[in-house]
Amino acid sequence: MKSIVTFAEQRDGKLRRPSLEAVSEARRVADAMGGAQVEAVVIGAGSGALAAELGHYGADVVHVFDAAELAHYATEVWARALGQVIGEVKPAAVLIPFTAMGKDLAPRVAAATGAGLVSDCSALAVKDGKLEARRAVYSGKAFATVRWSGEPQMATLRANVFSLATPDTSRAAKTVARTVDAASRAKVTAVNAAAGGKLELTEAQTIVSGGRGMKGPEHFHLVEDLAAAFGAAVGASRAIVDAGWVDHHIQVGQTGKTVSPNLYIACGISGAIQHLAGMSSSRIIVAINKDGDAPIFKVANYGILGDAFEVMPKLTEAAKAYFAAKG
Amino acid sequence: MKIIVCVKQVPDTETRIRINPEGNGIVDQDVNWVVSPYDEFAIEEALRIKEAKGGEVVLVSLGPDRAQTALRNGLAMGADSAVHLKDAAFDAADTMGVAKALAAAIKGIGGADLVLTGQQGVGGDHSQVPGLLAGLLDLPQVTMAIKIELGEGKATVTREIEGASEVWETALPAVISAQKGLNEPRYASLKGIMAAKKKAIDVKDAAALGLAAADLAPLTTVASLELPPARPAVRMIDGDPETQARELLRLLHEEAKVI
Amino acid sequence: MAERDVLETDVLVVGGGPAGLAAAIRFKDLLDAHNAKAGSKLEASVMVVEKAAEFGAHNLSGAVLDPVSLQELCPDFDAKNAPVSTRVTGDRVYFLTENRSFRLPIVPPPLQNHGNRIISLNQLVKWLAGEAEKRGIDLLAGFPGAEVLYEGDRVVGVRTGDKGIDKHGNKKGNFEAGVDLRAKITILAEGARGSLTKSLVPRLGLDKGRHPQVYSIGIKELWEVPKGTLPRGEVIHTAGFPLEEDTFGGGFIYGFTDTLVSIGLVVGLDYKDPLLDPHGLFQRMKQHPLVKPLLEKGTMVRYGARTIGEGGWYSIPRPYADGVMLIGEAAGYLNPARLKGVHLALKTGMQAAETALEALLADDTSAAKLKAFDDRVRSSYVKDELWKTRNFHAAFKNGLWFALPQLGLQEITGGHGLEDPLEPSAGYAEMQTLARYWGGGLGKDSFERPKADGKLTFDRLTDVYNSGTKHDEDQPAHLHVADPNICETRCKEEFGNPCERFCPAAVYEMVPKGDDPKQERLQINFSNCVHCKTCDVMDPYQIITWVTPEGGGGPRYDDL
Repeated sequence: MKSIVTFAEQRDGKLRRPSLEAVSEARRVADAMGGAQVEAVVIGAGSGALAAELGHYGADVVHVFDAAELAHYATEVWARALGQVIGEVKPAAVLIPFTAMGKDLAPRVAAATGAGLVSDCSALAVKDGKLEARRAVYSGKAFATVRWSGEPQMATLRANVFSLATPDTSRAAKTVARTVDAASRAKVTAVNAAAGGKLELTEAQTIVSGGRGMKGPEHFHLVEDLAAAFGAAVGASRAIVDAGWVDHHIQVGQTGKTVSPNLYIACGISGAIQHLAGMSSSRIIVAINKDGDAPIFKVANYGILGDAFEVMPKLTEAAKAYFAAKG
Repeated sequence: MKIIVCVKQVPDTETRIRINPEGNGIVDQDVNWVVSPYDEFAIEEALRIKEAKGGEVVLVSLGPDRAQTALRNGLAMGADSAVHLKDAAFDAADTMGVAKALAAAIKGIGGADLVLTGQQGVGGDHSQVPGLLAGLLDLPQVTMAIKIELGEGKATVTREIEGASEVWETALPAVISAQKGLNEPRYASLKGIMAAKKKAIDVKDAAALGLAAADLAPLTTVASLELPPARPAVRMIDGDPETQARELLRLLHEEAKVI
Repeated sequence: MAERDVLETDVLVVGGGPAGLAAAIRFKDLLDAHNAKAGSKLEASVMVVEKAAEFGAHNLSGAVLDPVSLQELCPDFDAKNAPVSTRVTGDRVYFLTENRSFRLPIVPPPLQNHGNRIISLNQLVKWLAGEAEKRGIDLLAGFPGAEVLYEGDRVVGVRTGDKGIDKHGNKKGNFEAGVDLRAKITILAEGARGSLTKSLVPRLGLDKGRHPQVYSIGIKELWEVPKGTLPRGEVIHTAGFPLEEDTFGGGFIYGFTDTLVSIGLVVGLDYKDPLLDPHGLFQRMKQHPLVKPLLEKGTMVRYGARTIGEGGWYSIPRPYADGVMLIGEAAGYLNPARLKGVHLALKTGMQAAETALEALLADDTSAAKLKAFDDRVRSSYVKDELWKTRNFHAAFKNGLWFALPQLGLQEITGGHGLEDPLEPSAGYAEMQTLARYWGGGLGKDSFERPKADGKLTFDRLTDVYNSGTKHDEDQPAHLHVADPNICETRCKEEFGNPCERFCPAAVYEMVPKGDDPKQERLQINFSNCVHCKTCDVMDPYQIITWVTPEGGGGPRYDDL
């Protein structure tokens, strides 16, 4: 029977959302392949407790590597464990979330198993029983459709793009307990929570940007407040960087940065072509501007025609409430 | 200390992209080619280590003739020598093929105490070569480094992850990939550029690396390349600010599924 | 502070355009030929520094090339695939009114282009750079000449710009001090209104007894059009609309390839109307019924702008001094009647190279020895051409209708005309105040630009985007305004801040200062700057100084 292996990343005894997205997608791919089996792999001290949840999201089998010495992620050990399962199961496909850990792990596993690897996929399709992936290249200025020539077909999946399955608590996965040699030449010796450091623009999933419509540097906190509510990075248009309101490091477009986050919220930005070139490959764009003719509305998915000074505080408030309720 | 830095030449992120008539790649001519910014961090770090501890910095790049410009740039920054991997057989190679060629080249020059790369090549953005290379060379790896401190036969590396940073200790030799924030790359000085002109670039083809066609057969291929689809018309949200705010959040959650 | 590097070379060329590269190539060819002969050998190095990130990226011209001097520089240029393959196949000249066009029955002799080539100057410069590289010449792109090095009044080289300075003027972690390039002979080839040439000429008194240089601004777009729109090799020149008769200038439209059309407008930077907006006028030109059909099925793909030194013979300073020569448009070697300077740039570059080799062989690089450069110019077709057109621009002082009969007379009298020399005044001094030109009641918002439709007409920022311009934002502005107070007060009142209009790249912007809408201050968006130098030329108070930004910044012209 065909199978799809998926790697479930856990941290501090919790499955991370991109892992659940990967399992959900594995389920869809498996079904599209005519009923393949989804085999999830979870690694880490205490990870056995997570098997049930993976079952709820669609795993048929969960391979658990749960040992005290697996407290911290180590590339070589995790690759060895995942390689062990792939070697035995001989899956048609392997799906791994494109997170800091997945980015580090997947190539190592590909090198060990000889699998073809396609990174940062934003869509997967099954055609004639084989996978086909779609991924953004050149900062979202083009999209490639990629195919594999052999198996396993290994892919890393972009976070926040693949939808979560509705968990079915009646679904139970078969658990297979496994062990792995925990020797590693590179080891984590400490983990430091980010000291409230600013999110790097090009890495951020959500960006809130402000432009000349903010009228002056004394109002820019509205942009920062909104960004904080969304857990977003802060960006700015060239005009206000040149005006000296904000630092050039956060400029989007022209000599600034080209970004393509999942969500880009442009506040008081009219949308000069230089700015658009820097952000128009964002997946969803929201524009808040009081000029209905502003070019930013031509690339926006959602538009609010209005005074940023009135809309932004309300949006910040509502977003805080929304994310608090979501937990 | 011998440090090998893998360098890729990539289109400037501001280059306008045009799809080739075959529909599987970009039109090369209009492209402004630069050293991938992450690789510049790797070169800079190598040079700083060399300045602190002595040793040599060797650059390796795979690509067509123009890749020599990228190598010259690194030599002008201060690297000691460069190897250019050039063969028509590399044209269709995927990330695995590239990693195999780089691994063979690194072995060919007798290995290194440290292999540095950028964490991704801008444009393709695969983030694969560092891990593939480490796997193929059977070396430990630490990716996305924002700080590297060298000790005796080991390195302490700070690596960025979501919402936190990890401190790793790795035995050397190892492969370490550079993330933004590691350092601020230097400019190639005028003297450096003049000196770089006199440095030889060693050109190697697939045969010299001991690679056969089968080794380079791609495991993945780009079937087609397209420009992004036209954006749908904007949906304007009406109402008073409070209604607009709530409606926007609802749409972002239910329709766009981004929050 | 780290010690500044010093590098020595025999010949230093500042500016890697057609003049500078021709000088370097010619020098190397002559040197090699000399050393191939029996007798004493000379070891001499030649180096070219260029502010652009790549050779050719800052070069912009119409351009129709008279290949005469390219032929002398590289006799086999066609065989070597010099990018000059589009031969002129047709010449047309029109006089335009707002809605009509009148084709001139004959093409005035200076505008006849039989045997010439339609080129992209940056393509030609890239090719020349390749030729220079093949000869082993040191080409250093990304290094602007920031100041001239003197020993007394002798030029001994150039200091390149520092890199890695933040916008407050502090050194960044990657600070790299500029290098002192010391040379026996320095050749300034910066193009029109070069920043070093501008300071050197008065310091050494080279402009004594010469007319002030007068300039125009050329604004150009490259359009991709369906095949068959304009024949490859077709040359069209226009006079009249969109310019008023009191403004010098005209339009050009060239069939560069089967599918690429070069189009541009040249406007004299001695215009009188403070509200004149060259970029806006260029947009209007494209809306004219003669022009619009050529573009409306096409797409604009590139944009650029550059000043042109149009003063001609009488405006050229003495082009040599101890240790230095001025060539190409830096000196003003441009034929204003033919709208051509590239062939003279190449030629004067070659002549400077010939002089440089002689001087090095004689171990004498004094002004007396380098005077041979001027002698070469005066005994060649460079002078012949410029002498015949010596009063061309000046004839326009009182407008087009006064100019036409004078130009006819100049044509017959070999350039003398009614009066010789006709003295022009500096262009900026011609600009009249709002009150004088328009009477009272007009402000800076009175001029209405055509609304950009994004297809045929564009705003400045869109055009700047298509020039590929970028500068590291974290550096001091390279446009120095001596007294911004004047902008906020006197200039606003007297001229309505013409910088906002004459700059073709939206660098200058008056923005509200605080809450009072009447209070404005100048904002300099230096990262948009396409290095055209119009502001340095045309600012009516002459308080703007263009200096070189960090090396590598600026436009990235391609096919222009």
